[in-house]
Amino acid sequence: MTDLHRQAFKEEAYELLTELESSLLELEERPDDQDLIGRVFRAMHTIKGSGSMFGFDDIASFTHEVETVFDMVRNGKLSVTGRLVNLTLAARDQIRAMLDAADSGAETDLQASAEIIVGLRELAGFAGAASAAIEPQEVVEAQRKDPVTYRIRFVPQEDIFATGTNPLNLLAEMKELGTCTVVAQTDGFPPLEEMNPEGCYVHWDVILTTDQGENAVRDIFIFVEDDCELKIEVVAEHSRYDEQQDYKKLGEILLERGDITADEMKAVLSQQRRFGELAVSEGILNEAKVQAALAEQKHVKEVRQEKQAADASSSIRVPAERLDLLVNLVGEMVTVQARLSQTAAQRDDAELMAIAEEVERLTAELRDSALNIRMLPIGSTFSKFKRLVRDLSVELGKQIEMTTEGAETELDKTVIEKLNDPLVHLIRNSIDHGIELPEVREAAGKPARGTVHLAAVHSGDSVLITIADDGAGLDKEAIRTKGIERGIISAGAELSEKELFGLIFAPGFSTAKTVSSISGRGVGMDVVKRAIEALRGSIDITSVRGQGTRITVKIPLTLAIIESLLVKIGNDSFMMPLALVDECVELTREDVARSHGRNLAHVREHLVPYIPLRQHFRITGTPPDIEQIVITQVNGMRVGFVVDHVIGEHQTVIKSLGRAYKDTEGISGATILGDGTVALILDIPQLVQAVETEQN
Amino acid sequence: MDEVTLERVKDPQGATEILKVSGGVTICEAREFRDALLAALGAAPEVRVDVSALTGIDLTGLQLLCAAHQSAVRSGKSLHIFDGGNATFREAANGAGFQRHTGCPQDRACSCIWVGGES
Repeated sequence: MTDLHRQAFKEEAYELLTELESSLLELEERPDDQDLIGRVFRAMHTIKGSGSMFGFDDIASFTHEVETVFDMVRNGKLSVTGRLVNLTLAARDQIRAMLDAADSGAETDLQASAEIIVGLRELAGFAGAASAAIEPQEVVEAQRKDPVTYRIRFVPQEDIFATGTNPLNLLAEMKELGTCTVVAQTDGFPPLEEMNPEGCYVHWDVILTTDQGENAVRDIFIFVEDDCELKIEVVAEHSRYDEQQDYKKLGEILLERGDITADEMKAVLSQQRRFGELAVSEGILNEAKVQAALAEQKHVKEVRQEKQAADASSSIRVPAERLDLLVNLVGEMVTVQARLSQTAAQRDDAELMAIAEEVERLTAELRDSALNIRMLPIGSTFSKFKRLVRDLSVELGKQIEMTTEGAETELDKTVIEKLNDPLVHLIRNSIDHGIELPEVREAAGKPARGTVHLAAVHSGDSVLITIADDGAGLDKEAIRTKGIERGIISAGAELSEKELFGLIFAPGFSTAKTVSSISGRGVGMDVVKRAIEALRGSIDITSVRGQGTRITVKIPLTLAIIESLLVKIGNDSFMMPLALVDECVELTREDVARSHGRNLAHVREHLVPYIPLRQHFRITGTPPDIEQIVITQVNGMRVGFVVDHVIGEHQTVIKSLGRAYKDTEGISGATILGDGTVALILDIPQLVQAVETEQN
Repeated sequence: MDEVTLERVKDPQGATEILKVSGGVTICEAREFRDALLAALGAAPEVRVDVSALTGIDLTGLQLLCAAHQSAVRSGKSLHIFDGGNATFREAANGAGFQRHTGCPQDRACSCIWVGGES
């Protein structure tokens, strides 16, 4: 088996495991949901089946144990309990570990596997022995994955009713095996007056598509074999669909069934009319036989169409690197296109401009669709958190329910990956510091079970992710005391609520009195803030004491391209993320003189501090008489940046600065402008922070 | 299964014989059912079997209906089924594979009782 197949299996398995986890968590809430039980069973079944096919024998045999238990659940022999869910979750983690280990060649913890199996067997209890007996056959059947279409002709003897057999039950059993078309043949009927009312004159042609194998079909007839004529043939193996171009012709089907001979068919075919009608009018066949054959043709067609529809809606797996490469190329393209437009405009060449416009339109579409490919719904991340919440609440003895909203909200794949850790931190905080113990909650008149609500929603070119809990809320006094203690604020400082809450993002800040295993080491929130800012996002807290805390994280949709404001200082171009920009105002020499050397500007009766970028970056030369202040919104504060000229809005493809410049402060990246020059992208929050530290 | 009742009614116009079958038809009532069908077919050129109040029918019953229709066709009479949208009856007929897109070989007049379904 090639590595390619093993890789495909692993990817499929990872997906199944993710689905399995969410199904299990749902199952815990709705233990009687047969649909969920079925989903868990099928996931296990598929992992087992394809695992053994691709040589992951350890996974297959381990999964088999879990599957056996869920088969019992499915058949109502075992009910879903907390312990079962716990064990199955553990088993799921174990399978994951085995998959991981298969790559690195590391040994998996066999002890852990054994413990889970022992636990499951214990749970299965008495019924374990019974199911063990049927195991071997089940394994064989499990490996049959591709559905096969059978043609079954079932002709019961006339006296079949006398033996107590109801053929209808047999038909119903066949329907359970898969997609089934039943055609009753009534042409052997004697006249009504001669008919034995207790005899059976009907026989059936059944077309059945099933993945259960021929033996499963034969098993249905096991008790009537002697009382009937039974013929089972394979019509089509659906795994070979791609090679089979055409549906079987009606004549072929009849020929295969032996309803017509090859010579008869030739004779009929020599005339150019519809085969079915012809054969009937020639008296070779009766209508019923043709009917049955037509039904078979239709059945196979339908099954195939179903499969094709499923294939069409399924997706293609592409390595992420290839997509990244594509996005990079599109980025280059956007840059070149900007140069083309600029050149065309400069030359004042109508023909060239027309081409440039066309290229611009196409590039924009290409850019959008390339970026769209990398968009993923955030739901998979959400379901991971469900597990986190469950495990943590058990550990802390709290009752917590997690609700989610907007799981379908799409974000760039790279953004989702980088969001994971900060979000985990925030949720942990909500659970550990936010939600109180059940007794405390009840005493406060709240339901014992706390809620953590996770929501994602699109807002312009950003996504807002909200983590809201109905816990204790932030303690303003405790934060103030701690802030003074840590020397972050002075004793008499008057802070707005927003600024006060902002303190918890300061390095080394934690209000937890004791350090728990989950949070409280004070290394959390500042790291979270840095991570979010690295994604060019922002974070915002609102909290009401006793009612809960809401943390909103605002993240741009994609990391590759941003809307930005192009500004110039001397001959250098800079980009400022447009999302942070509030407005632009002029700064004259007189204004500077009036503020007596302090970097403060009057904007509509308010004082706005500003950072003169020319000085900050030590750019030589004289500024123009009238400079521009670009006022930005940073951490709820308005801060201005003084530049020479504001050029305008710009779609910016972000390029990293490369390793040599990775520690450069105040710059988050670069972009190439239409004329080929480089513009640096300003890291606004960091610039503000740097100036603040300088002044303190 | 409910007790079966077979009720023969003459249509007001007199041309159609209506056989109303209610309750459940099983192999136990098969003989009785066959005789009722035969009698109805003997009494008028047009027979209507009303199964709208049927609560169950097994294979023997379906088979008899089909055979009755075939007999009717052969002797130049007509027989239709009125099911009044009876889901039990339709399910039974479908489950046994009696549903058709066109009629059976004897059916030259497109009168097959299993095509479509009168309601």
